[in-house]
Amino acid sequence: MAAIESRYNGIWFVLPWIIGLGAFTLYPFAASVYYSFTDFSVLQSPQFIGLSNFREISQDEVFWQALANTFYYAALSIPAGLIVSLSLALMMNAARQGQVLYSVIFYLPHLVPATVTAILWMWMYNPEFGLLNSMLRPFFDVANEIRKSIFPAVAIAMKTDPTIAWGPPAWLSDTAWALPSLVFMALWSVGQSAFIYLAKLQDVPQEMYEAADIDGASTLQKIRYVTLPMISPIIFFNIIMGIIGAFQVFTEAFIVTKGEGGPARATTFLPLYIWDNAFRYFRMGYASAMAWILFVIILALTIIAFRLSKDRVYYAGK
Amino acid sequence: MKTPHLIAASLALIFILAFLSDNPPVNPETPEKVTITYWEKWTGFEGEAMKSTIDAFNRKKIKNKKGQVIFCNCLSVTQVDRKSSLAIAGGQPPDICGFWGFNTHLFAEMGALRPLDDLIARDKIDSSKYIPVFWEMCQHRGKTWCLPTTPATVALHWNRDMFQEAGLDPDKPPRTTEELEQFADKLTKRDSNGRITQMGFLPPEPGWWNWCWGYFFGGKLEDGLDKLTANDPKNVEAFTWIAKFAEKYGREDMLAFQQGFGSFDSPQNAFLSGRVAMVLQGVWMANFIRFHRPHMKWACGPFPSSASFDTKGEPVTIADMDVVTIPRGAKYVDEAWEVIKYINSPEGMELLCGNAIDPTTGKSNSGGQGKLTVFREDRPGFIERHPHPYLKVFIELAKSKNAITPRKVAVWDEYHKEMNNVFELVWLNKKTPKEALDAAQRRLQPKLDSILAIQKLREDEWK
Repeated sequence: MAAIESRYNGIWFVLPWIIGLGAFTLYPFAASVYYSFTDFSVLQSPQFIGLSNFREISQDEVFWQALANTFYYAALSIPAGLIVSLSLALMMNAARQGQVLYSVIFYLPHLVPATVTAILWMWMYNPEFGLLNSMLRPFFDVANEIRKSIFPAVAIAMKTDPTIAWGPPAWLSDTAWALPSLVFMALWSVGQSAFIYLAKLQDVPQEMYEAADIDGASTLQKIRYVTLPMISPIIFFNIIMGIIGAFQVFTEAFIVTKGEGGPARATTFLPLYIWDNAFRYFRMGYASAMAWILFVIILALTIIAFRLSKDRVYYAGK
Repeated sequence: MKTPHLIAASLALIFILAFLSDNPPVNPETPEKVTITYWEKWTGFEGEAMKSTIDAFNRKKIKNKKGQVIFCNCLSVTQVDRKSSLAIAGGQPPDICGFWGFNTHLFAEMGALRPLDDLIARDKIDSSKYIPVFWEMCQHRGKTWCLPTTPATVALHWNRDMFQEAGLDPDKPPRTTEELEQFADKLTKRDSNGRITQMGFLPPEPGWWNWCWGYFFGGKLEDGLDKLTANDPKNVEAFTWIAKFAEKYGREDMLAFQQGFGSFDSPQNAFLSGRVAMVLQGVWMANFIRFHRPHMKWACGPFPSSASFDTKGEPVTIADMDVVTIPRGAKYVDEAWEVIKYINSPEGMELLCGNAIDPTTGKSNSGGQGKLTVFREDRPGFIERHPHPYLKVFIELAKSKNAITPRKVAVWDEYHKEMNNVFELVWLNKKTPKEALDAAQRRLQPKLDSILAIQKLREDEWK
């Protein structure tokens, strides 16, 4: 009897949260389905217009460009994030001393708010005075000298104008480099996932490595055949979180481009375009429709990831 | 009741009470006084100018019909249009919203504002006293939705010292875009490594009106509220002129040069620091010159237009302004109107826009927002007292028949952003001017069509 009673007591305590979830998450979630079929500016009552929004989206060049940019960002940032964070974790795991210190150092950038990170990196990326190009410029100077003095013929053969010096990229001001710059910026805060990898790495039974040693496995083989399969659930988890995060990329791009998604729409991601329509152009219905398309894409990719992972992820005890 | 029940029940009660109560904590009304709220976009010295104008209003102790003294509480609110739209939708708007002129028609279209025509007629506000371009900005579909606060026009500003150094007469600015190019050539310098150290004219600086270039060539962006003309041949001509600068001076060289500019409101501003000799800037520029480079020698005049465009002596400029509106659902309409009326009186307007003596204190202000007023005729002494040495240039520009305002098409905000994109595509040589403008036209005309179709559906609602 007492057990049943305490269960009801619990409901009372979570009630405020349930009301909050209902009012501020579930209701807007459901309402946005309806709004996606309406013209809705927030200021007027929604007007049902059937599939018009979706039809308009299918013909909207910026939507397709934004979607392509978002996919491109995901395709770069998810594998890069995975490799960098996993490498960090493996190195930390291998460190004999100072593991705590390293993890603190690598975790710290994750604690910096996204806005601060963005502003900081805007300075790093400044083509003239930025730290990054100050470091790169000497290399380009050397390359230019070599090109000028030793290989003028090469320049002519490559049909490049030898008087135009090579230089480091203009990063955020260059249409080709702006998006990869944002990916690079995101890598700065992979500490979080590296931390999760590290926890799992320390969980891999030592006997397995000992057994591998006896079989004469090299370090690389141990990583390939012992470590990776043992931590595969975490890799999988991080991939799923990476997909969700990458398709919602917003803050950094919004800050560094001052909400413009430039140069020449090179960093206009779908969430940025959704925001523009919802809050700049007062087209909440159109924005809701795009948000649902984005949701379906993320859902589909997650399902695909789950399907593909079936035979590749090892869960102990299963 | 057991303790856990009690705690849970009281938590739930607090939550529900908080949820249901929507009474503001302070009562805005007492028998003697009524407090109204005004959300204003400006911060900094411009916000101070607005606040001191409202203070002057408050000190006059104007009474409403019930005999209560009206007190206006002026608050600086960032992103005032977005926040107001949520407040209006939620039924708790301020009594006055200080908006931008360029998207007020959108709010009007969405039924978010109260038309002011009955109040204008009642209090006999004379529209003929206003410079037409500013009065026209307040109109949408035959009704008046707002009244002006601070107007502005834009002009060519040039650095006299740099002109002299380049052998140009600082009293003779370029008169056509072709001349502007020649002047720019003479004013541009490179160091021994070929790096640009100084430029005559840099089209992306400050980059706030990328949509406007066509107008200096006789082009236009729309033909009525339902037809966009982004790819008008004159617009193509304008962007070809822009692209010429990029070709001539080298995109990468200019990009490197631009990295040295500080933010607009700083001594490192491209024009203030003497890096760029000629810029398109607004009437407010004089304030920033005074703040950051008080000893700089400069002048301003109409921005030149193309020789092929016969302006009939009416120079091209962009006229824009800030406005005040009464949002739908405002509680104190009559009281809000009193404030708007005061701002639109010569006394209020002078306090807000220039150097004026506050009759309620007898003291002179520091120069207000340093802009022109919206009136055809200013009261004697206003221009002479005004801190702007070239104020008349901007007043004359506002009166020009070629003073253009941001367009009232329903997709303006997106159109404006699209033109920024066109500018970047052309500037970075990603597309030819024709291609970029064709693409803009192709994308936005269908958008406008579908928005207009929806507006038709909502016609009854609008009435």
